[in-house]
Order: sequence, then structure tokens, then C-alpha cells
Amino acid sequence: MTPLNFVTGSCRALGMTLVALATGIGCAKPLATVEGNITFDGTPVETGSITLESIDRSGPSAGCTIENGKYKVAGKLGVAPGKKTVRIIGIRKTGKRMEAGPPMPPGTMVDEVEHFIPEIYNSKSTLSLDVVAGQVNQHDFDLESPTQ
Amino acid sequence: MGYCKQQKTFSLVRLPAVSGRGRWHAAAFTLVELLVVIAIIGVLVSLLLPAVQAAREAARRSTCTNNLRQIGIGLHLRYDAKQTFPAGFCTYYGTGKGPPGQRCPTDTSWVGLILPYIEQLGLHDAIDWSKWHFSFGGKSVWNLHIPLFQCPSNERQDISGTQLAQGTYVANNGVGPMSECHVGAADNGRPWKREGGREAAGAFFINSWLKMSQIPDGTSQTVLLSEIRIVNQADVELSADHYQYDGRGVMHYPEGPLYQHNHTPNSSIPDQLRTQWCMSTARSPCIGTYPDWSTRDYIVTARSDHPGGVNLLLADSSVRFVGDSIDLNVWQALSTPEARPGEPIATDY
Repeated sequence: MTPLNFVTGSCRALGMTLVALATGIGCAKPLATVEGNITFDGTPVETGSITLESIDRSGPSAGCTIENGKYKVAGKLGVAPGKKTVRIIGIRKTGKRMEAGPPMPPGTMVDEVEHFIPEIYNSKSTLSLDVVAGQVNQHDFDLESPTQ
Repeated sequence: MGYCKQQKTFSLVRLPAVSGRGRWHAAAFTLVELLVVIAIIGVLVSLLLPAVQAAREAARRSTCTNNLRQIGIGLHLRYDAKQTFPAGFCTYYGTGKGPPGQRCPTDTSWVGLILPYIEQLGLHDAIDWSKWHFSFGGKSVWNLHIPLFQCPSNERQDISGTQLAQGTYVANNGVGPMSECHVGAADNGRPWKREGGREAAGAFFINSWLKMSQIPDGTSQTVLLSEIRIVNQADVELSADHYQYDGRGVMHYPEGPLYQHNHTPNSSIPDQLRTQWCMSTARSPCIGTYPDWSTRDYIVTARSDHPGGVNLLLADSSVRFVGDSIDLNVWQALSTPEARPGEPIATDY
């Protein structure tokens, strides 16, 4: 074996070992990516959060922050496939200023904020989603105020 | 001969050697050989370095676990002396009175109540227990770090200005949001609770003073404390007045030393915090969902810098490591001292 052949041979062996190691590390339970847009009464949800829990509350909960009407739950913190209950909250400024109170010093003023998405979309959620393994689950939520 | 020539051209180390015919010539490594050796050393070092890092994290984690255990012993020492666990936080507006034999001025948290039992009697005695504990401006006991509350896996926070001292270890408030505060003297100091607020009570909440008899789930199936990932204030831009910072882990105020079991450990779902106390980072995400203490739409998830899970201190004072992949219903069952209808029995987790 010439030295050059030896080097390329060992490099190939090393490469294959590394590939084997990498796949070995990455062979945990496959998690799916879920992404999309969220609007409320036609307007994108600027700030909020989305939570996906299994219908039977087995497995861990997944979710992320909603920014400028978009969300993406991906990567190591993705979603396990299956049927999910979806909870969405949205926060907005009311435009009013108010005193923060303790433990901030007296006179500290802050913007008042409020939840604006009704509880049928969060604490008493009626939203659900079927997450499919091995693909990017594109899903938009167009939420509307409940009709009286 | 040609081979010999090549060797000479690439030789870096010249050593006298004897060839087969007894003639002197330079024996040396070829460049290729050298590169192979370097590559092998490189591979070995790259295998070693993560192992060294892992060993360091293992050491930090062991200190972190030990701290949690020590706080657990403190909680139990206090239990022996007072016959209750401390309240998550108190409201006895103006009077500073608690249950018989226990002083607890409004807004005092469980951390303040266990100080004498974790070798911090000096800090305890520096507090005026006869009045509402908060004083504005300047440094006070509320700005002092307690080393026992610092998990070394977590970066230590330097306190600037009027920032309140933070700790890694937080008490189980249940399934949130917290939704509790005091309402003031006009209501006889009765605690206020938001309608439809908290889903289930944990072991520490307003005026909770939990007794062992109130843990029918069993002390080995109920969580007292867990950990959070404190935001390194150097990573976020602080406002000039220093009142806007990340408040997670603040030890001596109700919004800080408590966490909730709404989401499984190390979740990427953002915590819900007071707008002034939320500085979101990729590893500790948050959104500001309420402006002041009167709403307390507060949800903080257990997180840690240990790979794969968080430490829990159970009510029997044992410490367990729980993985991120724990079932949500088991995780929530661990937070409630008393089982809710349909709750699984958390024996296997």
C-alpha cells in the first residue's frame, strides 16, 4: 500500500465512522416540523404563543412564540406526530399607560397589555391538528371572534 | 534511488542512519506520514474534548443536585420546627402576621422564610419582619446573592442598580397561570384569586403553608422544587433605569421564585411574564402578557442547562432527574399534592 493510498483509505474509513456516529446520535424519535401563519379576525397575531399537546396529554408539550403572525416549531424541539390540541394566545397593547406598582418604584409607568384571543382557542381550546411524521406540516390558523 | 531522493526532498528531521549497504543517509518522516499522525492526534483530541466538557458539566450538575438537596433539608428542618412547609408567598397586609408562630409580611416568598434553616441567619435577621418587606432604591438583602441558590450550570448574575437577586431553584406553584395577589387592607388582607385563573394548585402558593397530611398523592410523587434557566443579563439590553430586566428566578418577590407545570421541562413554549420582567432569549423564551401585579398571568416552565432534563426535589426530600420527554399528564400529576379526577398515578417516570 503506497502512503497516499493509505491516507485516502484511512480518510474514507474515518469519514464512514463519523457518518455512522452522526446517524447514531440522530436516530432518536422523529419529530415533525409544524409551521404557518396565525390571524385573528383577519389581522396577523403580532405577539403570542402556540402550544401543541397530544389529545390524551401523553408525551411532552411543544410550541413556540408567535412573531408577526408566523410560527414554526422545528428541530430538536419539534412536535411528535399524532393528533394535537392546539392552544393559541395573543397579546396586544391597549394603548393606555398605567402604573406598574411594586416591585417597581412608585411612578413607573408601563403600557397596558391584554389577551385578545378568546378562551375557545386557548384554555378551553376547540382547535386540533393532525401532525404527520416525516414532512413539514404547513398549517395556518385563521381565528375569528365567536358570533354572539 | 529515486525514492531516496524524494525522501530527502520532504524530510523535516534529518537523522544519521545506516542503509542496507552501510552508507549514511538522512532517515525522516514523509509529509504524508506527518499529516496522518496529525490527523490521528486531531481525531483523538476531538474525541477527548467533548468528554472533558461532559465531565465538567457532570461535576457542575452534581453540585447543582447537592444544592437542591440542601434546600430540601432546609425545608424539612423548617417543617420540623413549624409543622408546615413555608407558604409560596404571603399576604397579611400591613400586619406581617402569619399562622400562629410564623411571621410573614406581605409579598415575602418561601425563600425568605427558610433563611435560618439554610445557614443564612444573618440575612434573616437583617430583614424587618414587622412590615411589608419591600423598600425601594439602594442595595438591601433583596439584592444579595445566596450561593446555595446558584446552580453552577447556570451563569451567575451580576446585580446592577436596583436589580433583585435571582436564584436557580424555584417552587412548584401548580398548573398556572399563578393568578394570585394580595388586595390590600380594605379587604382584610384576604388573598385575591382570578376567576378561572390557575388550573390546579401545587405545593407553594399564596398563604399555602402546606402540611404533610395535605399531600395524599404521597411525598415521593409530589414536587417541591425544580430549576429554571436564568437569563444572562449581559445577553440582553438593559434599559437605563434598570427596572426592565429578566425577572425569572427573583428570590424575594412572588413573581420569581415559583414555576408552573403547564408545559413539560425545557419546552420552547414561551414563559408568560410581567412585561417589564421579560427579556426573551432563544434558550429562555418569554412573552410579556401582563403589566402589573394585579393580574399575575405568570407561567414559568422548568428548564436547566443539563442535557436532556431537569432536577426535581420531591416532598420526601429526594432529588430526581426527569427527562424532557416526560408525558404531560404525568408531569402535571407530579405538581399536584392531591390527585385531580382522571390524573395518572405518577409511579413510572
